[in-house]
Amino acid sequence: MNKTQKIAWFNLMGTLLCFALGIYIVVEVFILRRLPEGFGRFWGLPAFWLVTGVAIIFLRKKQSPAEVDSDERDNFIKRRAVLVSFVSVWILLFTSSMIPRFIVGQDGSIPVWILPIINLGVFIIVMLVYSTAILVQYSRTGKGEKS
Amino acid sequence: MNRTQKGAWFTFGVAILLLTFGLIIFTQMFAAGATSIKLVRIWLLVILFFMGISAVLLRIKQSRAEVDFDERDNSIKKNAVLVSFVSLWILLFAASIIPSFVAGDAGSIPVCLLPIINLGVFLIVMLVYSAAILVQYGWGIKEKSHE
Repeated sequence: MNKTQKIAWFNLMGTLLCFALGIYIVVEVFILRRLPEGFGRFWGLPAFWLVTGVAIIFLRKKQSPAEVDSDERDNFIKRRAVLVSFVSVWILLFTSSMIPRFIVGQDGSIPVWILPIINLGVFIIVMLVYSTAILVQYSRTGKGEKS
Repeated sequence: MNRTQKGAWFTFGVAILLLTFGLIIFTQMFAAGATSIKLVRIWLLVILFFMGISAVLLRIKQSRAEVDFDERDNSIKKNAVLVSFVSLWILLFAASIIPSFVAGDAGSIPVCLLPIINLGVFLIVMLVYSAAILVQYGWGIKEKSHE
């Protein structure tokens, strides 16, 4: 596994963790209408430190001393992943501007503090798409080399 | 001028015309007195005329042997996607922060404004994308003339 793949894996883990944290907060605060107590208040912090620590250790460890940080193929894969996430962001933005209409109605309004949360959600999903696109491309090209 | 450059000029022009059109409509909504339907119609005709001319110009080739795009065009377009992807996040950040300054932290925003905000973001990103393409071609021409 090269550096780009490792970064994509840790990106994927980080974004999934953000997703889990977001769902946890939404369920606790908005559905159960209570503030998290005890370990529930800070479980996200040690989880993030764990992912970051493991990422730093694994990213510093190279397959061989001659391994380059990234080559032409890695750059190509990353650029295609950017293109895929660029398309996905427009689909998500379109969806995020339509869904509130169905929830609060045509003449309804939403609090302004929800906007950063919506856009943060879009950002997390796009990061998920970006890292998945990188990993899928590596798995596809890996199979291609074998056959 | 090759096809990619023509396409970029076309996108640049349409984005500027649509942004100005949006601004006219937006200011007319809040201006006192009757809305100038004539101005809106003229502006729509200008946009349609520009789109028609651009469609014709895009089909005209420099020579019969001219290819639609080559490796350099692809590289320029991919760099432009990267630039516009970064600009998109800056714009989305601004779009989530500005409403709280306008309406206050406890304020609310009508849901019908969300697609308009996102459309505005889309047009600005298209402007950045085409500007990035044209700037890269400009740099390329300068580099060639220095050699």
